[in-house]
Amino acid sequence: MRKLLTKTIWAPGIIPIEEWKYRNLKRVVLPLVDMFFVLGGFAVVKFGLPTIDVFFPDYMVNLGGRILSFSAFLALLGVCFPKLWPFEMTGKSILLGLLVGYFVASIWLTAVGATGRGFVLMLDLIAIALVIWRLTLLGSEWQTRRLAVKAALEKDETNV
Amino acid sequence: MFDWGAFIISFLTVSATVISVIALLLKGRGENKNAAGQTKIALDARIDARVAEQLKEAWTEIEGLKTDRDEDKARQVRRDLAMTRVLRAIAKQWPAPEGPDLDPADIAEIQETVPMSWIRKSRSDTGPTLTK
Repeated sequence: MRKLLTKTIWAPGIIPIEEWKYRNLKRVVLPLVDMFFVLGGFAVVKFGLPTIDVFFPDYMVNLGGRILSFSAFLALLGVCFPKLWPFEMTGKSILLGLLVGYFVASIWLTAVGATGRGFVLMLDLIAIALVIWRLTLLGSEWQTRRLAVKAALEKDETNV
Repeated sequence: MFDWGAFIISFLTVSATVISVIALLLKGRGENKNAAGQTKIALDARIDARVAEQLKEAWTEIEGLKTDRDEDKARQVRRDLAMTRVLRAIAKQWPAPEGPDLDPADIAEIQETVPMSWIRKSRSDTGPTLTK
């Protein structure tokens, strides 16, 4: 158990020194956001989702809620255990799709005359921006890791 | 009637996911075009190389010192054994039974090499009594 705890984002030394100033982003904000998405998925399953209910039957909305919870849970795993970053990428990509779907549904309803969805639409855009921002960071981190490994391998070959 | 709304929403949901995955793959597997990123990687590589070089030099020096120390130790053992043999030979050839008159402080330094019969037992008040 203790060994497992040393692998989490909250363990000392896990956050690189140059990211220290932003440590709470990874240690607090991102886990909370993913947890809220998990709960959001449960809420969709339990109470439905008015905007999506217009377009899809109940079982599809339920499925959407379950997918939302599952993808957010994958992302949460990736946030809590940095070595599981592919989980976070997968989870966040699915989350992005679902949020875009919700955004399109809201726009569609607004276009056909439904009112009162402007604020929720903006909240959805904020969530989309947050997810895209995190995905760009994940992409950069992946690239940096890969290039660092490549540089190290090239150096080893030169030394041999 | 075909439900275009549901179709478009589903299509865009899946498209956004697929585009996100493709963008991530392109970014992650691609080369770094960002100058700051490239500088950081280059700087990291230089720091790694310098640290590795300095560590190598330090280890070479430590190994050299260890070899010197081992050689000194071996030389010291050889000297001690030679000293013992010389003193024992002198003791065997000494004419008087009580042996030579030696300084207890000097004997304390080389007590393992001095024959027991030479230790100044009769005048223990003048210095430490050495026992083996």
